[in-house]
Amino acid sequence: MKKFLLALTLSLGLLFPAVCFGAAATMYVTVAGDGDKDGTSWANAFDLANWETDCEGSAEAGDIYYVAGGTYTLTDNFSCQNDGTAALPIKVIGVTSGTTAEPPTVSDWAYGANRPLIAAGANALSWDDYWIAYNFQVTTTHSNGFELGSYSTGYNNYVYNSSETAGRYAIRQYNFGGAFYFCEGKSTSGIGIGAQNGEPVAFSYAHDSTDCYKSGSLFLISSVADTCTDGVDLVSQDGNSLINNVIYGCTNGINATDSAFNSFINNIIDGNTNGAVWSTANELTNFWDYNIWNNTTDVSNVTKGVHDITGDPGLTAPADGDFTLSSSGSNAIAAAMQLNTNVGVTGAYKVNIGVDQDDNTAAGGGSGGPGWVSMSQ
Amino acid sequence: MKKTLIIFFLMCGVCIAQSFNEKYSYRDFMNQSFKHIDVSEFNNTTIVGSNFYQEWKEGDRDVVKDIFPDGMTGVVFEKCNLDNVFVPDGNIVIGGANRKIKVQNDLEDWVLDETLKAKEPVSKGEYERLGVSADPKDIPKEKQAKSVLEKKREKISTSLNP
Repeated sequence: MKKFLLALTLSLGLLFPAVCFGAAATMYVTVAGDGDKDGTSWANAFDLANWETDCEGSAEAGDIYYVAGGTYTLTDNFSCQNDGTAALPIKVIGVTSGTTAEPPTVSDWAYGANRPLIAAGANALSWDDYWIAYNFQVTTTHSNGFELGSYSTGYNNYVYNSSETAGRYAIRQYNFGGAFYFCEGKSTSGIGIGAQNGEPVAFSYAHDSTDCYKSGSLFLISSVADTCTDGVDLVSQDGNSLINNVIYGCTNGINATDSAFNSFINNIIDGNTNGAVWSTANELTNFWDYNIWNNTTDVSNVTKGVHDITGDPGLTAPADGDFTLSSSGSNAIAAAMQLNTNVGVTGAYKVNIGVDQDDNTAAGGGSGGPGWVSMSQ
Repeated sequence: MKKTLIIFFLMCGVCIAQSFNEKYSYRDFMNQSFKHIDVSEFNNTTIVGSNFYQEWKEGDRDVVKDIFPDGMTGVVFEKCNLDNVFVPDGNIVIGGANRKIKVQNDLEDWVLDETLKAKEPVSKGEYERLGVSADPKDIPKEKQAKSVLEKKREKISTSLNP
């Protein structure tokens, strides 16, 4: 009888491996936690300590953590080193405080001041490979305030690195793959947003830093660089693409040593002391065209594109963070490199230079963004 | 029996007196000072999960800063970040952190020992991952222009993308 029962138990274990060896889980986190604090529901939400333990030690491909609004104070490094996979990334999603849905929907996602705040102090906050982090605010002084590993993505995150030590990152992609969308980065003495190997950074805002964006190869799209020493610091990195951005109010809009094989198309480079500066004349492999220049000195060792425009683009109120095109008119309207019948398509297309794509459809509307609100400090 | 009851009621008295400080709990107060705040807002309360970290800055005489109102007493700090913060006698720290941290010549933050000498880097795991020595004796004698970890990362990146 004993042997029979043992054999039966072993068989059941093989038939139901998911029960024995774990599966992707959906978990819930609040500031103080609740109930059993095992993360299985909002009623039993993880607190910070239990979330950290699970994230650092037990996170599995496909896991999702829903993190409710509130302040999460780190007292040591929060570093989730387990990897997701390409098919099953691990997701961490900030939702508004008081969310009750299980699981939450996109309508519960947190924006602006409602995003969960990770008060990191001197500690690191990092996610490893194949993670997606949505909807967080972070304050930090760490060298790499908010760091993502390979093939990881950040969406709607605001990070403020207030360290006075030079060269520290607010937001950073380390290694390769991944992307940043709708992110805001500010680093008082360092880099707002840094890419390493051509990761796209789109619809983002970096400002009031030494370098707004720093390249290890950068693909910057429809983003704003505002009031930095260097708006985009390419260093000597080659192969960058900057398309439809606004670079405003910097000492150097784009600063490079001898960066080559880059593309600069449809950018407004406005209100900078120097628009684009190369240390050497060795930038002939760079492609510049359909940009607008309006700076104290537009270029140094740079040749403007044949369709470039020199003159005030008429941004509405850039000193107040409004980089839309003035309603009273702009030389950027419909002036961009854009699809047209020369490439074999039919129809009339319109693209503006810069980040503001003026409503150009007969029905009106234009695209609605996620509604993120800057938490600039 | 009488002594046990007396001790029991005294402990209850402490519990009743120790109220949860909602105003200063679960908040981010990094680099802020409370010297101008009325000490009654702090005394005999429990503060949970707040960040009071004070970054050491070039020119600061002391690593540890005295930020709380004079005469603060009876405060229980639970799970707070009190790095580089002076907690006066008469107050209690439960969990959380109360380290001394200072940037070193390698441009990274290090935890200091009681003699204010560098003991280990805050990001010790990163040093180990990158193969950089986390021994305090290997901290450069001169202040570097770039973080030692950053230099190593660039070297690795260059080798992967020649």
